[in-house]
Amino acid sequence: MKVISGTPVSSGIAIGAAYLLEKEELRIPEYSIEDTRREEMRIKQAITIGKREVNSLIKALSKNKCTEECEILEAHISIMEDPELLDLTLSFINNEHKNAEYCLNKASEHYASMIEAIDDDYMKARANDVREISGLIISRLLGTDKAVSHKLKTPSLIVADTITVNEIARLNKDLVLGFITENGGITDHAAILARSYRIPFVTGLRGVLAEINGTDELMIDGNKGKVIINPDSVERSGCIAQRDKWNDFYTAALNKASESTFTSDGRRIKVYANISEKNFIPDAVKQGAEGVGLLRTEFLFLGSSDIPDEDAQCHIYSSICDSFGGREIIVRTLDIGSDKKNTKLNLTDEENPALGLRGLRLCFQKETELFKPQIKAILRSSFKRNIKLMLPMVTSVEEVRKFKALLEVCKAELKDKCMEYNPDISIGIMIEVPSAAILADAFTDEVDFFSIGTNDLTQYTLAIDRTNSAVSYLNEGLHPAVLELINKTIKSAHKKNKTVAICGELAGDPKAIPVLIGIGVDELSVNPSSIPVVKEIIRNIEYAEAKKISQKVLKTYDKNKITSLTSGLIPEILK
Amino acid sequence: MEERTVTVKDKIGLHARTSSLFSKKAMMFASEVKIVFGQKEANGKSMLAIMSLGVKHGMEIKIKVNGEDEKKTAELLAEFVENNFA
Repeated sequence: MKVISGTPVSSGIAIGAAYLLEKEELRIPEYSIEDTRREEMRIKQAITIGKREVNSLIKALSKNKCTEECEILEAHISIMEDPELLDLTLSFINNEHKNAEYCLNKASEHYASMIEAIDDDYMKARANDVREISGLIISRLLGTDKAVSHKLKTPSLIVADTITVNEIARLNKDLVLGFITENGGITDHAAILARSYRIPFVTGLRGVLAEINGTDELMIDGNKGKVIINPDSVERSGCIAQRDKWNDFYTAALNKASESTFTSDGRRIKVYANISEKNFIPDAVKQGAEGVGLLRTEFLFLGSSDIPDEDAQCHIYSSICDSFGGREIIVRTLDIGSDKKNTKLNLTDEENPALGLRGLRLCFQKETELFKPQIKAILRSSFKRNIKLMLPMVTSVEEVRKFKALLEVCKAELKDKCMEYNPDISIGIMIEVPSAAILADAFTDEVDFFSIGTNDLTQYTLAIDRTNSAVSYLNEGLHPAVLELINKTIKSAHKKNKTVAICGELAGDPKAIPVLIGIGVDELSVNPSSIPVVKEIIRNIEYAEAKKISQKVLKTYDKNKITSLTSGLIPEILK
Repeated sequence: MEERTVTVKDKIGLHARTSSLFSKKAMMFASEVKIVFGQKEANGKSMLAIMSLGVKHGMEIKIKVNGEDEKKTAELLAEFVENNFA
């Protein structure tokens, strides 16, 4: 038996045989042909069948309201029916007298490299779509495409380096118990697709292909990111029981995902989504997000892309709010530093970026080029929309006052240009530096709401570098010192009727949620995929009981005791 | 020959989704459709050709239509782009 841990990207528990998805590198044959008409027919037929396959997948997905995936696949169809791609392929066939596979590959490479040459990360990724589609048609021409779907005959856990939307499409989903991959991320289309099929998925398991054999039995826990190779009999029967309980729990959670959430004794807790890139939004809406508690605007600025101007930003913030049906959106101003940079900003490398020129500090320094356009864009988008502004990395009251003066300057400039904006926009701050939590009382007079970023608050309070694996084991949000700071912040805020949200990883941690609710948090903002479960956890908590227990937790100073104190408030399946 | 000049409002420009939508729309007409962007010209019924132009947010393109239903085609395609591909 061996236990390995990775990143959970689609929840669920399953046990079954391993199926290694071996992707032979596509070898494209090149040979001369006489009968050009025959090659033309072959390529046209392969495309027609490919299109039919993708179309039936789109039909199945649209029933599940997977608009995002349908759009990706629609684009794939457009590539398949592209007249220029076909013309170029046919011209190669007729002029060079070469086989269809070779000519299609040459034609699609022509377009892929042209698209790749465009100075834009998004377009570079699209070049790979062209290659993927052409590979798909070529493997159909070679008759190797059916290898996977044909060999998979019994329910199995798919193990692969990576998995694409098209590969998932070609698998019989009734036989797929789970996905285990070496590379991937939570925002991958494949992960979104797995979630819509409710297939557990754990990724980021480097080297896993070398460790698993086709004869192994595997158990996957997509909630915790755990994979067990050849579980022993105890582990095995435990897992089966867990799986059944989880299915009941998750079905209940999904059925109620779009409902507002109250504790069992009626305290209202809002559950919002953290959004870090635009293609997360349909998923967030589907999972029942009541708004966006943290819109990380970094995705607009990172990489080599141009810094988006005021108009472009205003358009994006407005459209995000509109796609949430006008629900509350909290836009956090840019939080980058020398570790996450935009090449156009010329940031110098720093010895210690977490403590360096970042977030609000950097924005003040780049006031004209960065900060003012963003503030104005948020002000304009908040006109007749429920959009609020939040500042990251606040450490002193002076910073907030300085920002508010700048906000007035921005308003005046917009007014001079006769631009419409919301003059009474709500302003909040992230509580993520201990000094901000300690001075929470003073901040309540300056701002409308707080959102506690527990990841950074923990890192700064406990002096633990989150990115340093040698010490990251010490990184725990339920540390008594961190809890004390959260408690202090909430008390200060509630005295002045201000709300407090938690937007760090702690907000989605089943063990932490009862404590956070007990000390009075008003709102939890989590990754979209966690929303149904977080809501279900809240429904199972009695606020009065959580309040009593959290008072004990705050006086415990012992993490093992914290676990036993809160145990009664956590659904069995998530312990 | 009919020509219309329009501005691409989509925040990313003519990327996969918008190019796909445009080429699909263009394919519904019999006329030949071309998109002119600077010195480059692309078949308006080819998503890949449109994408390779690299048109970004806020840039102007010219839609050139040639054929029996050119007037109606140019009109509808220009409107389609103006309406942000909706």
